[in-house]
This record gives sequence, C-alpha cells and structure tokens, in this order.
Amino acid sequence: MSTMIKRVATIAAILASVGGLAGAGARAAEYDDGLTVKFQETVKGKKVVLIVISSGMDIAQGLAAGLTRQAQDLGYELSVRDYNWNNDQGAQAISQAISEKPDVLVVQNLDMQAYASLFKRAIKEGVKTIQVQVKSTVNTDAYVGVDWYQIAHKNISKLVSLCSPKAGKSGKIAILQGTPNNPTNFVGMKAVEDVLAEHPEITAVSKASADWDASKAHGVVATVLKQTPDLCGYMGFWDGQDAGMAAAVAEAGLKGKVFVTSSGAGEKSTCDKVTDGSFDNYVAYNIPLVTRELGAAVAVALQQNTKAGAYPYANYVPGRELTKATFSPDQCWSLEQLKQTPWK
Amino acid sequence: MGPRTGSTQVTQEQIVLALSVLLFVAFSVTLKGFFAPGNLLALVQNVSILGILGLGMAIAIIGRGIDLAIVTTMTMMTAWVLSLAGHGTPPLTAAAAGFCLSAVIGIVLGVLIAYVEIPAIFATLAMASVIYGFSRMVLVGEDLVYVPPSASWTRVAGNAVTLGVPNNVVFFLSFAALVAAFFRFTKPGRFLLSMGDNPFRARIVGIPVRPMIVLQYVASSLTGFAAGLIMAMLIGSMNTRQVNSTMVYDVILVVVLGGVGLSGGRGGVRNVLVGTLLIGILLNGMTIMDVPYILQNLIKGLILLVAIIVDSFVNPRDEQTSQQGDI
Repeated sequence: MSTMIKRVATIAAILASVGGLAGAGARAAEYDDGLTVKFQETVKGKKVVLIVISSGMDIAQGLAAGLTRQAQDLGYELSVRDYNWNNDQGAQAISQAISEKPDVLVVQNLDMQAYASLFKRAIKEGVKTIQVQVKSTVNTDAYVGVDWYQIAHKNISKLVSLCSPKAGKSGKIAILQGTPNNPTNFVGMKAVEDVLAEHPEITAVSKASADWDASKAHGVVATVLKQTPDLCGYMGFWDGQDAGMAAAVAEAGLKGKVFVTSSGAGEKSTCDKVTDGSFDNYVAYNIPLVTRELGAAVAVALQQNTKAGAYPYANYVPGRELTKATFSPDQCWSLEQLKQTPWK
Repeated sequence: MGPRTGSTQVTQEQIVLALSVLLFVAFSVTLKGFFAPGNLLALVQNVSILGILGLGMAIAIIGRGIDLAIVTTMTMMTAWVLSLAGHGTPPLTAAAAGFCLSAVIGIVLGVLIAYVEIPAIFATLAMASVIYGFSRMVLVGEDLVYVPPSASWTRVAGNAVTLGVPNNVVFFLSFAALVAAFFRFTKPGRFLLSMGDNPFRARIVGIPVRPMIVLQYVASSLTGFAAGLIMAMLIGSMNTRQVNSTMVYDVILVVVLGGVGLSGGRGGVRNVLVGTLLIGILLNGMTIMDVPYILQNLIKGLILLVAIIVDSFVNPRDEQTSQQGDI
C-alpha cells in the first residue's frame, strides 16, 4: 500500500515539474510587440511610495487597494504609509520618502499649503511626485483626482434649480461648511458663491460650519430648520458630516421636503444614504476611476526617462451624480471590488 | 477645613446663571425665532451630549482629578461597538463588550492615578493616545463607522420624542438626576466630595481613597461610553477623528463655567447644568446669527479663559493640600 502511495507521489512530482517547465517556457516565448518586454522589465522592481491621509479613510483605502493590486500585477515594490490626519507627521513621512529616493512618490494632501516646499524639494532631488485627490499650490509631475470646484458646482446648481421661486419654491437654501481652510470647503465655497451671484432669487440663510463633525452638524441643522420653516434645500460638503445633517432633517419630519445634497467617496455604505432617501443628490468622487487613473500615472512615470517635474499635467476625474431615481448598485464601489480588479 | 462659606457672597454658579438669563432675554428680544418652543428644545438637545460628558468630567474633577481621555473613550469604544455590530455581532452583545472594555479603561486609569500616583492630567493624556492607538490597530479599521442595519432600531429610539421632549434630552436629564443622587445620597458620592476637598483628611478619617479614585475613573469612562452610544443613536455614525478635535475642551468648559472648582471638592450636577445651558444658549444664538466659525471658537476660548480666572479667585488653591501635578 505504501509503495503505491510513493509511486503516485513520484508521478505527481514529475508531472508538476514538467508543468512548471512548460509554464516557464511559455513565458519566455511571450510575444513582444516592441514594448511588451521593455514595459515589463522597466516597471519590475521599481520602488513606489504612497502616502495617504489615514489608513481608515475610505478614499485612502481605495487608492491603496488599487495600487497594491497594480504592484502585484506589474511587479513593482509599493510601500503605503499614512499620517493619520496630522500634517506634521505627513511632512515627516514625505521627507523620509524623499531621502529613500523612490522612483515615484504619490501623496494624498490634506490641505493646499502644508507640503508645498517639500514637493519643491522632491522635484529638486529628482523624485517624480504625483499628487492625488487634493492638489497643493505647487505643481509636481502629475495631479490625479477630482476637481473640487466642479463637485460643489454640481450640487449647488442642482439645489438652485430645484429651489428656485420659478419652480414654485421659497428660494431659501442653507450651506453647511466643514472647516473653512480645507480645499473641499474652500474651493467648494467659491463654486457656491459664484452660482449664488448668478441667481439673486436664491438666498442662503445660513453658512455655518460644523467642523466636519456629524453631531455638530446635527445641532446646527436642527436650529436652522426651526428658524426657517420654509427652507427648501441644504447643501453639505462631505458625507461623514452630512450624515448628521440628514439625521436632523429626518428628525424634523422634513425628509423629502427639504432637499439634501452631499458629496463623498461614494463607498457602498454611504450609497445606502442615497437609496434610503437621506441624500437627495449625492456627488461621488468615483474612486475606482481615480484609482485607475492614478495607476496609469504611476505606470507612465515609471517608464518615462524624463527629469522629475519637467512636464506637469493634470487628470481631473469627473464626479458622478447619484440620485435615488437613477440609482443602480454598480455606481458604488467596495474595497473588495478594488482589491480584485486586475491591472493586466 | 469645612466648606468655605461667606468668603464670597456671590457664587460663580449664580453669576453664570444670571449671565444665561441675560443672554436668553437679549436673544429673545433681538433674534427672531429664538424664543419659540421648538427652538428652545433644539437648544437643549444640541448640548445634551456635551452635558452628559460634562457630568462624567465633573465626577473626575470633583474628586480632584480630570479625565482628558473621556472623548477618546467615548469615540473609540462606540466605534468598536458599531464595528462589531457591523460584522455580525448582535447589537446588545456588542454594546456589552463596549461597556466592559470602557470599564477596564477606567480601572487602568484609576490604578495609574491612585496606586502608581501619576498626576491625573498626565495619566489621562497619555492613556488617550494609548486608547486611540490600540483601538485603531486592533479594534476599528475605519475612520468613520456607521450604525449597521441590524441596529437600525436604535436610530428610531435615538430620534424619538417622549412627551414632547427629544429622547437625548431625556437621557441627559435622567443622567443628571442619577449623578445628583450619587453625590447626595450614596456613601461613595459623599466620599468623593470629601476626597476632592482634602485627600489627606479623607484618608485620616478612614475613607478608602485609592479604591475610590479607581471608582471615580470607571464612572467617568462609563459616562463617556454612554454619551457615545447616545450620539450614535442620534446621528447614526461615529467619526473616530473626533479624538483629534477640541471637544474635550468644550467638556471642560461647561464644567468649569458652571462653577465646578478645578481644584476639586466643589460643585455638583447643578453647576454642570448651568454651564451647559449657557453654552447651549450661546451656540444656538451664534448659529442663528450665522457667526463665522473662527469667531465662534474665539468667543468660546475667551469664555473658558474668563471662567478659569474666576475659578482661581472663587476656588483658590489650598496651600495645605495642593501638590505638584494638580490642575
């Protein structure tokens, strides 16, 4: 009996090694269209550093999952670091990364100013740098991500058209800010003010801030709703904070009567807020597309033998408007899905 | 040394109460829509979570300590409960787990302060980082955790109204009654007041000071946890970034503003209620007036400063009992 098993094992081992050889042989003979082999060889073993705001943030998780998958597929080395919403730690992480001289450095900014001088240094020291999702005032090799002006513009335009006295509504809306110096808020408010200037029939009764905090948002919105019984719509800048806004609207029995708009990463758990009617209009950042475009930018930067910062370019990824009426589940993304999307 | 009487004719509590009444009248006259039943309920509702945290902080401060970890405990333990429930644990089991871990945090804090004799301000500050770091590494993967569908009934309870009063106001007032009864009618409550006033005297008369300190931090941690659950029931999520916010200063603000002495042994629930009320009126008025964010923070900061200055006059340091590390 035992000899039988041994024999089977031997045969299996022989078969496996033959299979292995055949596989290796097939790879060696892969068709080369002139770039295939060069592409694989250039990208392989390169070093990429991704610095994100927080490992627990949905956007950052999406970006990291996408690039990790790409790194596996293309064979480059990826190191993901996070600075936990702390610009000082972020500055340290970037300095550290510059000194390691990676082939490409990818940074998700928290604001527009903090890393400006560090980016200049990275370029000077020849580290190709890509900014993602929030752009600093300094240009680097590439920016990939949303256009904050456009995201807010979509929401405010929708609100203005729905709340206009021409549509039989009061023309009264309210804006819920986060913190005024953050680009989401700062650039977004420019869009709000531009659109409101074109529409004098619309009045913004409140522009209070809630510090990106859902419970403060709840308090502010509850007060404003009591103050303005004929309020037509409420606009927020980030779904995490706006969850409190939606809760206050629902609590006041005004769900469906006060039009609520928000924006955010568009991850599955927030999409539920579109289907349950908490958010009437929601502009999603389309993170799967941002991640794909970021992967493309990394692949380009790894292959091009140009000087760092020589040809800065941008790729603004349009936001995606979600409403309950037009909703379909494929408009939302999940981390699992991004982890599995192959790059080759 | 007994309670100081006659040293000041007017207490800070009375000053703040008068100030609240003054602001209330001024806003009622000048701001349209301020003096409406709906708005007044919203006013109390908006500060009730702050008020509950204030009660927990008051327990720590009255016992001559402080709990700078209270907001971190609230945030991370609640986020953990939501995260557990989101991954299939029954909501009540998840809440029980959060309760137990919050109690453990309180015990660790209490042991560090009572037995290792680290000043409360440093022990709780350091523990806040430990709680956050540990929770983020081991317990909670996301920055923002939503109430899962399996616990959606809690949202109904959180948003409901009992006899015309929003439920979280009911929670706040019940909590206040509970803490008031603790200080007035229970032995540990009386002990805590006595310890805060003079820990050496308390020890001499036979109060088990060290175990009482542990109890004090278990109480403040559990109060924080309860406030977190009530917040999640109300807004449907918990944002772990709250840990980095200035919320803990707001909590200290309502406590000190109402007249709870930072040097311990002075004040009670009434002071917290008065402090919470003033902040509520102020926040509500500023929201109605649409005062910019930075100015709101400045006003709050100035009020805290004034409250601390008044506190240092009304409740001066006791040279006989003060020691290094006291706040």
